[in-house]
Amino acid sequence: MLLEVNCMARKKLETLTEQMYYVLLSLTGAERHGYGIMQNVSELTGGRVNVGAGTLYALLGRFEGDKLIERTREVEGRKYYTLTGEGRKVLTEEYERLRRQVADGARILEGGNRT
Amino acid sequence: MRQDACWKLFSYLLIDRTAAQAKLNDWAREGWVLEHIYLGVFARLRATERRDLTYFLDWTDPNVREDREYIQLCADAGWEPVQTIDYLNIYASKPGASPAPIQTDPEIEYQRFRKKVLRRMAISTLMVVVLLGVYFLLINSGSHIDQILYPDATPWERFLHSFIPVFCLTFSISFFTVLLPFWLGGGFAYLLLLIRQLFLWQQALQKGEPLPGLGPWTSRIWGGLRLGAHISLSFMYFFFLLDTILNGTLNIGYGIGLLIGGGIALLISWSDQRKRRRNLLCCAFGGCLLVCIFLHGPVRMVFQGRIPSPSAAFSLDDPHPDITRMDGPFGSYGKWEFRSPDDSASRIALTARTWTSPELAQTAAEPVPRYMSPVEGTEGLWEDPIDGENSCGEFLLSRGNIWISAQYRDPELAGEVMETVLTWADTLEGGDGDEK
Repeated sequence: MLLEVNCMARKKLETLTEQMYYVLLSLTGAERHGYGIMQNVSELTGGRVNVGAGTLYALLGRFEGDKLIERTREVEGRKYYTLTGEGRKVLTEEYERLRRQVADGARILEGGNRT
Repeated sequence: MRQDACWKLFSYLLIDRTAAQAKLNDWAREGWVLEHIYLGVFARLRATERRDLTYFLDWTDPNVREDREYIQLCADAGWEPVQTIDYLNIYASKPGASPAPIQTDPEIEYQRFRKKVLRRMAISTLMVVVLLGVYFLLINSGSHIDQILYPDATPWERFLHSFIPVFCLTFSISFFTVLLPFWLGGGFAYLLLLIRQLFLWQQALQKGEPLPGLGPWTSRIWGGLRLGAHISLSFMYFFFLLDTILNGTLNIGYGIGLLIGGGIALLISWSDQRKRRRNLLCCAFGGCLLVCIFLHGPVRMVFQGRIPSPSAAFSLDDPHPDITRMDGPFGSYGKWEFRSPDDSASRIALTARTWTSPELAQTAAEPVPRYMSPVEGTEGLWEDPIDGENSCGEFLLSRGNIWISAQYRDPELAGEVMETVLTWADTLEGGDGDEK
């Protein structure tokens, strides 16, 4: 009965949304709880990107299920997370993909080099 | 001078979350904070000096407690829960906080809606379909017997023959049956609207556009229908209790069972505010039910109903017959079972039914069972006398909107029973009851 939203790529996390990217970025080399992630993302982006509590809850569940992050401890009902090796790999791949995109854009838009 | 509190109509379908949220935020800008929503449509608002108040509505499954981590995240972000209504959690921003919306990714919000709401709605719809199926099965439970008794009747006539007595004799079933087409129609229309909104929602997601909502007039119409559904459901509870008082439709076991079940559920779910409220209502309803069950006897002693007791010589042998009486909006039913002093088996059973119109009487009472034959000289009277094949004689009288049946075991009483049936029918037609 239901029409499926075309999100096959998202399902396998081959590409990340902006919010996914910054959530993983905030856990690089740091252990944070949920609200800490929200605050860090806002700081990283100068308030440009804000991850809602409900969105973050869903993302953390998905990332943990895909072994991109792992729970380290729980204090007063707040769960702390850190990035796993697989998570760093996915994040790095996304960073490289974005970097290539920016480089291609710079070449065309700023260098005037058209092929 | 401004009021401290007021009531507002708040009628939005669960699919119109954006409109509901916008309305709450409009009220917040005007200086009103939401205290509580009653019956899903009446919002109690209180005046506030806060100017930073905002609201967010998030999808939820009302039968499943939210995960602690989710609640903690919302609290840390600056949202405090106000109420859960239907499939929506209502959150208000904490004083001094300017939190980001709880859902900032439309695709994830859509997935949450599918997981939390659609699954529960599918289960609820399935339960309604099953209950309706059981309802119609119960109505037709005697259909195989009716096929033997009335072989020439059509299936529709056999269905009406089974259905109309049940329909006429209880307020709750009459009311339910009359409203059923509107409830089903409204439910089906809502399902179509939901499918359309889901389709538009998916299109909006693919285009990266805002989630669509209903137009203001559509919301008002659907809100009015929702209010009508709530009111009609309240009447259902009222008629259910009325049937218990007047017609003794339930015995004490139901009331005690409801109280015990509600009490156990209450203890188990005491920490869950939503379930606690619901289980308290269940216990309260169980208590009301018990009171109504105890009131049945005294009420029936005062109110005899449309059918007076039959008077006959044999009734003197048993001054305390087993009596069953039911009075509904479209008909009444009365049964008197007389026993011999030295015999616990029923000696004579007299049953009368009346309907508010002869057409109803005709549809419910006819056709006459094939084993009965008409009594000569008396119109509308059939008999099946005691002979070698059966030990129980029977009379059946159908006159206007009256239907009387009499069964007896002593062949010597046949004449007296027939006289009783005819006299009783005259009394019922005359309308003056020989009240017991």
